[in-house]
Amino acid sequence: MGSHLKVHNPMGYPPQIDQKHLAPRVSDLAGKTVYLVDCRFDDGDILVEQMANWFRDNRPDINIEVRRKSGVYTERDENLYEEIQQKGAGAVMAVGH
Amino acid sequence: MKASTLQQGIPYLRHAFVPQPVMGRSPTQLRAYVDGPDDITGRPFMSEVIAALTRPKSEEETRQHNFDRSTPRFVEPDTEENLHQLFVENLWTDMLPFILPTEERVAAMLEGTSRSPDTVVGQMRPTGTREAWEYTVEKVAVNAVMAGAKPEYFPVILALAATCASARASTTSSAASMAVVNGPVREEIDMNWGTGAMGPYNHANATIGRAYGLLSQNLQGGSVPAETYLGSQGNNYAYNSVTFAENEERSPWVPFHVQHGFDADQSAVSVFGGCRSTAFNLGLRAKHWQDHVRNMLRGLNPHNPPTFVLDPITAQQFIDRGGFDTKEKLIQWVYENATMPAGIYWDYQLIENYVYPHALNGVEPYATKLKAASDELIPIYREDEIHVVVVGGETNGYWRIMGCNYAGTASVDDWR
Repeated sequence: MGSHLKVHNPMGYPPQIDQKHLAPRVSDLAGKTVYLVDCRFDDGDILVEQMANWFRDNRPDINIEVRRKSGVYTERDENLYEEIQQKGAGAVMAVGH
Repeated sequence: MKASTLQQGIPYLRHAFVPQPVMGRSPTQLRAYVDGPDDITGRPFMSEVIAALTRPKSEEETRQHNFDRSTPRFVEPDTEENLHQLFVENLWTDMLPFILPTEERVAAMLEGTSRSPDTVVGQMRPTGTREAWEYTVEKVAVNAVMAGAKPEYFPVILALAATCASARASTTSSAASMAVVNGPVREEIDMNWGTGAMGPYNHANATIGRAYGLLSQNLQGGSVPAETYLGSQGNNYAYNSVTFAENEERSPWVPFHVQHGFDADQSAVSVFGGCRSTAFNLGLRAKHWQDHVRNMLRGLNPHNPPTFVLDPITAQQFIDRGGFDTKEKLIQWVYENATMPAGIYWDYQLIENYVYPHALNGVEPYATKLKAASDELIPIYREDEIHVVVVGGETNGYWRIMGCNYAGTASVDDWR
């Protein structure tokens, strides 16, 4: 051990993480509302629109709500998230890079 | 993505992936993405989406996750060679040779401040959506040792850490930082504000800037490519975060820190983020200097405002040509002359991403800019985000404009 060195760890101290759980799942989306949320990443709105088109072509029994998140993508849109909790059976957040 | 959701406390968030890039693809191409396979699993993308929305939660997804991530004070003792390898493998370095932070070296660094080793200096995060990690005086000292800094530089390094502004931002745009030191500490630790001040020719400039980078990447919880660093191209400015002292002695204007509330005999360090775009020129010509400067301003990106980094020769020329006998007068001129047609401005992807949403929410001055006709000239930047610093040895009148965002000024004296 004579040639061994004792050195400091250079990393900082991480915060405590409070676990959040997945929202309840529905077994069947027929007749339910799914939100497709454009989070304002580069051209994400076009991608989301194409996803909405896919649902209209392939699953017209699912109600699709396309929304564009308020604010830049680093910000929360509390009003929208509240609406999704109240009315949505699920949501897809289109997150880029 | 997984690292990010883990930090948010949702380790089992469900994902589906279309190929990159999305940007610039036509609606037809993006429909093909949607109709095609998931870029990770290879299964149909929309089947993955439907499954993620409807599949019952598994036992693993509902169990309580163990989030124990405590940081030990020391690493396991080992040989010098193995420890060097460990630091490299853990991406705790900038890949240049570094000094191992032994107890003795860290203790010597701590002699550079009167502050207790366990004093909390601040919190830092790689980007706004990431968690903030906390750090103490001792942790900053560890990184200062690694960078090769001397104990007398330590108050400046602590002040940089106290800004809580990361020099290792995790943006896909590959941002770096810039640090400007003002006040008596410049001379006390033999910093360079003259010839070659922004280059690798001064021990204090070089190692303080390097320490800023190392402490940022380690104290914020890492700067790991594809996890906590997403810069597509990377940025050479990041090696020492463009760190220099302002040439107060030859500047015709007040020092930068005095503009921001400090007395001239106090010492402070100012940090700027988002450093990427740089424009450069020689002097100011008598006939067309205004056109030349306007061209330089248009050549920057519209999202990172200009900080003029002027050799004293050019600083004097701005007074001689334009009558700008204060920095504020020069800044006013820049604000009024950095313009472009509104239609072109709003079409920039950076503006679409980061400014347009604010304009829609009524935030000024962006909301007013949004009302302009497409061909109407509008200011690219806000006046309060344009800055001027003076540095250089007057070997010639070369100067540059750094596109960057001023992030704050911290007292060095508070950390002596």
